[in-house]
Amino acid sequence: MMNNGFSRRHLLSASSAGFGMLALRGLFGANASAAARINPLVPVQTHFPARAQRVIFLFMQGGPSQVDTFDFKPALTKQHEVPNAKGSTNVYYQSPWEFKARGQSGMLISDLLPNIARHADDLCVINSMHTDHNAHPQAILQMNTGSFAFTRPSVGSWCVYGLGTENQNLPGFVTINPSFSGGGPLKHGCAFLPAVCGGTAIGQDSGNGASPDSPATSLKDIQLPFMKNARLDVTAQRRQLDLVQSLNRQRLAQDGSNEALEGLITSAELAFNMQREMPEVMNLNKESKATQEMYGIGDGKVTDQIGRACLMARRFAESGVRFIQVNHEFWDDHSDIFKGHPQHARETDQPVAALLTDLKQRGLLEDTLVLWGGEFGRPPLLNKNKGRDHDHLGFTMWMAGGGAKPGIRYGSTDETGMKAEQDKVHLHDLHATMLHLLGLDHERLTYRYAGRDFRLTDVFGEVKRGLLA
Amino acid sequence: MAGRPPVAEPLWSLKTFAVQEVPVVKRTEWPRSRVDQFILSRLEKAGLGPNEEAEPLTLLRRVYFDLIGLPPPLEVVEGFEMSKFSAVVDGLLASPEFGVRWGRHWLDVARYAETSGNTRNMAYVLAWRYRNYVVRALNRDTPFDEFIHEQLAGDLLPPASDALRHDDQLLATGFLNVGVKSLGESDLMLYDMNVADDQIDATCHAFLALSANCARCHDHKFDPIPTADYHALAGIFRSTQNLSGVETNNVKKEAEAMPLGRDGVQRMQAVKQHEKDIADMQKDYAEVAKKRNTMREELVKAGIDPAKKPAVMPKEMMEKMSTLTVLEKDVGEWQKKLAEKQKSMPVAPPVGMSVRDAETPLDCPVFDKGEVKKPLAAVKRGALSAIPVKLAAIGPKESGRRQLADWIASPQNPLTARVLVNRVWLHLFGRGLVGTPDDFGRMGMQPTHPELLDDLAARFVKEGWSVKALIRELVLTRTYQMSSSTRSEVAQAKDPTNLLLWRANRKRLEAEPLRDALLALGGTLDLTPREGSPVADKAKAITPQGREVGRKHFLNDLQDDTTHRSIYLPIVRGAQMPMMQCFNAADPGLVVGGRSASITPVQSLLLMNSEQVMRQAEGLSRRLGGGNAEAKMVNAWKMACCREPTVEEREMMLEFLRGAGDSPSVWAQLCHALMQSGEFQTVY
Repeated sequence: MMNNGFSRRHLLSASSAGFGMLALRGLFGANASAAARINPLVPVQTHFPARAQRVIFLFMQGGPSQVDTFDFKPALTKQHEVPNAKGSTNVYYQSPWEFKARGQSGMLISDLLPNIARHADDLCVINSMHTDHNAHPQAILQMNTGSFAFTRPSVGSWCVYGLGTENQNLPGFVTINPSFSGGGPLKHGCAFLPAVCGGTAIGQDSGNGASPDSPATSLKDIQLPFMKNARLDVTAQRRQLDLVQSLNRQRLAQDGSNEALEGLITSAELAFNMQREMPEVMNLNKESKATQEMYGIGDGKVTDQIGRACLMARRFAESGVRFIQVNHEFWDDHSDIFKGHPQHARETDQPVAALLTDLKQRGLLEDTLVLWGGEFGRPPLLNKNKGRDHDHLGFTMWMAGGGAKPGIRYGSTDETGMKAEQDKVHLHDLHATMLHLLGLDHERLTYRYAGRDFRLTDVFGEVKRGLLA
Repeated sequence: MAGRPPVAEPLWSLKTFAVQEVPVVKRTEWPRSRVDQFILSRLEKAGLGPNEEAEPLTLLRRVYFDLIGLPPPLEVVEGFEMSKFSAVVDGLLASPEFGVRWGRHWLDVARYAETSGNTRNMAYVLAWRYRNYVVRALNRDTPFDEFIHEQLAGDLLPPASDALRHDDQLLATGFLNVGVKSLGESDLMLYDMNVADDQIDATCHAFLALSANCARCHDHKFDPIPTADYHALAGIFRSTQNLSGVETNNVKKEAEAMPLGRDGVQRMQAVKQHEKDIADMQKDYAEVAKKRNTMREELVKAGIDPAKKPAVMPKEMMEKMSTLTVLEKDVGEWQKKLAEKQKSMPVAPPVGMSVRDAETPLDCPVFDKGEVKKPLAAVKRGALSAIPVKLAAIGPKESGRRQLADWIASPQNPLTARVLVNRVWLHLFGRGLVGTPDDFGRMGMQPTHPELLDDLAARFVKEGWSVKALIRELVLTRTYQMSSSTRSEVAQAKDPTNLLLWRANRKRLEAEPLRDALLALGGTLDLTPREGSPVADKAKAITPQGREVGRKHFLNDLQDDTTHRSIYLPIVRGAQMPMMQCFNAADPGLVVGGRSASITPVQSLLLMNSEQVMRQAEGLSRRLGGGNAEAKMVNAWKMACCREPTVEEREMMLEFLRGAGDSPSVWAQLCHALMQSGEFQTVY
């Protein structure tokens, strides 16, 4: 196992690019403060051996309820329908979904997510998550950037900055089906990090709850902008690029040392390859009917959108993309959770389970960290609209693969599932642990901007050793 | 050379500066100016010599892009010789396009955008007026100290006698208001502190190149900024009200926009009075109408149809009927009166996004570790204690912005002029004398030429803070006019990153001049200044609370479909136009003095495949004249790269034409190739 982030393949691809990847350092003029570190596209030596080479973050925006999924609370049965305070219209409410022991670990998971439940022995369930804000926009932004008040680089962009990418012909960070709410593109932005670290968005989710005036962009046959020339076929475009490159080389010969121009030459070749490779990776028709069915892909199926997103995620993972985010909204069931949660579960459960199965059978789960969860959870209470409100003090997320300890539940909430109590894991701790699995020390992964060394975890975060395999 | 001083040393940037003695040089024939002597003296000490002078046309292209952000037109290229250089410079400085280019530099540090960013990204429908003010201010060469005053306290200055100039004083304070706001924040104290934080960040970074924000939670680790200073500044900004239409469900306290025009305030009052009058009339009218309705109902209840006015009725009903008749008449009259009043509504004055002092200014408590739930003792409103300039006393009825502006714009402030001179140097030479233009603190770099920086700063202040004069002086130096060639192996070995300036730095075209140049080549660039903005246009139909980016696709569908200069493109925080985003335009969530120069394949993809770019290439191919292939080629090169192609380059293009066929579409492809070339994207 290579542990420094380099593999034979990287070295080969780097040297075959001809001009030497150092060229991409982007030293135009000498004003390169922000770009000076390295070419962010080249794999980088990690701080210590990495357990995971990449991350797939399944972001369940809106906040799935912990006591209805992974956090079994028998005490709720006793207090069922008892108001949580005198005169309160909120009552404790036991989960209507039955919890069963799953797999060899006997992990308790509810019937709401029967397919994911089958992977219990692969899951590293964190029952003691907590975060700082109980409103969606802030919590969503904090989940994705570490900060809810300021413009900061997204988690994915930090990973690309810290690790580079395994495949020069693809972006290092893609985010599939992102929503426009909760900070919109800031969720995959790069703020002060080099532009190349930012996420490439594929499609767009519907915005707060699907409404007829703003439906999600279907991922079926989706194309990215600027990926195809509408006027020239590949042969004509290659001929044109050959002219561009010969003019560039001619200029380079006159210039003497010109790293920036070398960078442009390489970058144009990469771009030419990317327009071939990106649509290929995104083309799900290459997959067998059986695989497509496993993911729940099919016209009219509720699983179609997230099925496509998850299958695309696997294809990106396989092709060397560093950080892949799949977004689903909107688990925010303030009213009639009995109807809402099953709907969201139906849309995501089968695709997510299929992704785990697929990664595992291809040997990819070993070095791919899968992360599942919302920006916060929901309290064990039922409000007068038969919904559950927000709970940022205690909620559940899970990891799988990539060096996360399988088949365990880590930490716990109090008796009713309201507040994280034992072995609490703050969002910053989760980010620190995730970076650790990627071989990065969250305190050393810094970027100097305007006189300060910034970190994903700001001045917080602790690696939770109990989560590591 | 750049490095970090030991912590015990006082910070270099906080020491006073003065006009310096000009160093002696050996090659006395080389320098043309004081600047050149400083540069040459350092080179000579390092055993290096300056590069030869750049080719005249290289220099022409350089100064065009540097000063106005556009390529020189064909006729200028063809008639140019070096003797015309200073006349060209004067022409460019006087051109309205100068303000567009240099205004954009300022908008980078002013973190200018048209939405609030953060969690609820709301439209700023009036932000564009600040943008246009900045362009005008640069064009009229507003002395930089005045530029500071206007932006921090324009509303508190003696009103300019010229009405438009007075509007500009008010619009200038948009600087404080166009920042990131956490409008989704329901904790109003936290919201307030976050707004103040953005204003402190913008003010300290833009004018002083210091980051004070660390001191929100703890004393600054490296620079002499204690939390007390931070909260002294916070007091000033929390005593300032934002005047704009930003409203969400959480934040309702933002006051209305600033009325503009000579009698704007009175006109706005008249509109308000008129609205109030109408509201009062409405009330009276409602009362009469109610009485009328009651009367009607009573009659109907008694089985009488008032419309029919039966001839025979009980007496009581007769009385009611006649009362009703009177009431009906009254109602009609009221309706008429109301309609008239509504018709005579005075026209509202234009409004701007500005600030004003709060009614009751307050001192801000220090918050323990920045937590708004843990206030400690209040500190007096004030500025940074480490800077040896006295802040004038702040009266109880004042926010202190005026005093703060005086303090920043003071000739004695050791940072202000140095920071500005350095920013100008950066844009002309590709790197600042201080390599960290936004950080003159301990974590920043030290100047490569400290005496030169001080000399420039001191003379800049002494000679009236004129940005144009500074630019003029700099571009007329030999230093600016050197070739960017890296062929000198000795120099390349000794100083590969050119810190000592033995050559000119090559500069990548930034997003805006790149797009503007493409449009100029395509013959479609529209140079009229853009009043208004697509953000404002699209927001018109929506109530202020609903103007949230993304909601019902609001602003999701903005297109780069204008042919105005790029400064006029809409700027949505988090979602800039593709070409701007991809070519490293400043992120408006941050103060950006020096942009990233990163090169990415996505940039190449955009240039390769964008319809917009290909349309410009087509445009260029139609503007090459009616000569033979060779003549057309020469014209294309002159327009795109400001020179004639070499024999080899001609041969490469001829070969392309032979392979692809000499047709109009192939000529468009050829022009498109030129637009993708490294040389076109670079200022040599």
